Amino acid sequence: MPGAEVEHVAFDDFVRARRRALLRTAYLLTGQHADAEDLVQVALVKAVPHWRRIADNPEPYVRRVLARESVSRWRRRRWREVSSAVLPETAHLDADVAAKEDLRRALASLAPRQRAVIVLRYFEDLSVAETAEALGIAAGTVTSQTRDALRVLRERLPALDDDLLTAAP
Amino acid sequence: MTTFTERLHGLADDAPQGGALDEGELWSRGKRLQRRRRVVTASFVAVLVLAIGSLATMVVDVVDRPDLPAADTDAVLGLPDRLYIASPWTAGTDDVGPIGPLVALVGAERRTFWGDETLEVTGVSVAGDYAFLDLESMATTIDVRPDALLSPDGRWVAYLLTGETSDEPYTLDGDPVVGVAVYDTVTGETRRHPVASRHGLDRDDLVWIGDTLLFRYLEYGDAGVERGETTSTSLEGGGVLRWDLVADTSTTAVYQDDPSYFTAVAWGSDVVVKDRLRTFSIVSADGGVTPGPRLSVRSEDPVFVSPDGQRLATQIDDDGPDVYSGGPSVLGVADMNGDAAGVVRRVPQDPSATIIGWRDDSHLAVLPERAETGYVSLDVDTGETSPLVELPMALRLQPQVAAEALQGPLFAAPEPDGPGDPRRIVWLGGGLVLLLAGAGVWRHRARR
Repeated sequence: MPGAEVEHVAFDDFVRARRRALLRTAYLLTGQHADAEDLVQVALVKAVPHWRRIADNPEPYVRRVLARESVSRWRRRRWREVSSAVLPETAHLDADVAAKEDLRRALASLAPRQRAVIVLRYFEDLSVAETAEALGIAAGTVTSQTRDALRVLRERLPALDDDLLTAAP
Repeated sequence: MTTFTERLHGLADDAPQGGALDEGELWSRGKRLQRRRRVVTASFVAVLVLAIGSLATMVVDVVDRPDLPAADTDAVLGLPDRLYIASPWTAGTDDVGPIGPLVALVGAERRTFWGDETLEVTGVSVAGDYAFLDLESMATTIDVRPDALLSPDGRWVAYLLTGETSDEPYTLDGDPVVGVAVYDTVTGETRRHPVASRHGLDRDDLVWIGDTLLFRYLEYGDAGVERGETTSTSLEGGGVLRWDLVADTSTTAVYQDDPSYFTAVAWGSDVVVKDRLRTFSIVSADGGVTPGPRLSVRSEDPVFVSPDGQRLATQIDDDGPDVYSGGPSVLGVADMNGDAAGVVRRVPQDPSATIIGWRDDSHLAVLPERAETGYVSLDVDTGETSPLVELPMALRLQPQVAAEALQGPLFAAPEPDGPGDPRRIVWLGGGLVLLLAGAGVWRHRARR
């Protein structure tokens, strides 16, 4: 099988295997279904030109593009913080759904880079250094952005009892 | 208790399933993106390489401009097979020094970094190198005759000298003339011969007779000045200066208007001047006059005597031997038989061709009126022609070819190494800086 075809097959395998995980991260970064799908598409398309180099372990590269793109897109088009989709009335939601909605709104209130820092650190479980590398910023910036983001989340989610939200990182 | 991380995972469960993602389509889009990037990168690199290359070339051009060969006193004058218009940025003799005996003078536009344009004179060396002649204190006048005059052997360039006059200068004809000067093409030295006058001089004749420069002039009389402008004057007095450049001696005689050197043509160390419609004379540097044979036809044009002195050529009126109408002329050649009348026979040739001079005893260099290529060599016995010197189409001044060069061996003239516009270095340098800055900003943004 020619090399290009092998790469194509490997890429398709990766997309099929990791699509769901990437969409989950993208959804937390954007808060919207359509935006999340768009973001993942862009990240995967941008990975293709570099596929030969990253084929052995493409995930870090794709996630890095995902994170950076979520921030830069907001800069370019003032990423929508509130979707045009109609939200269900809070009063009609059960407690679990309501909690999710609160979290979604709390994340949406964060600046894009703060949100990316929170998602990478507490959802992807990356270290400060890994987060800094993924976003292309200094480790000190990651720390300060995390601190500021958590302060906002503490205000927005008072019911959430979590060490992460009560202690400085 | 639910941790924050668990809450994030719970929210992530609401993420879309990804039905809109088509692996094949993603791969195709990625490949298209890759091709676009390659094109952009290749274009950027090409532009960058081009810019750097051009910049480097021009910097090298300016910084490492090859020195022109040292002036050679004994250089044999040859005839270039082509004359060029030098680049406006060609170096001047002030920069490169003297370039040796000149085979020709060619007018060319000269430019400065700040955009000034002037029509100046370039000298062409025996090697075919070009340099603007930086002629000190040269007077620019409205005279139709050339301001700079090349000696027959190419060693000297004579010109009118401008400067201060003792009284109000007469300026209606250009810069006030206060004498003559000669630029030595071998040593680079400029020798001046001022002529005292109150308001300046009017050139009557400036002609080389061998190594002697003859300057016949009149002095401007009292100039009227109204509202700061010179308005009227009269010509009074004058003289004939003979300046031997080899012996470095000069004599000044009282002005006399005979013979007229208006049609003077170099012949060895003498000149041939036209006296009347049918007569001409050979005049030596000391003023000695030897009459030539009477022509069988009338002509107002210069007479060219062959190197061996056996024949003459001139342009003759085409209306018969005893009629002079001033109409179209044809080229005629006659034998010089002592005092006997020279019977001019017509050479079949392009009417109104201008004679430049003799190449040898049987060939003339002529400039056909309709010719678009330049000088041709005309065999006066057969009437056959062959290309001789190619001239640039855009030549704004007729070149002056040294008389000895016209009879020298023909050589292949290289195209002069004209430096490029030095202002482009500034533009390109600025453009390059902007390009690099833009690339830096673009890359920085792309990485974020």
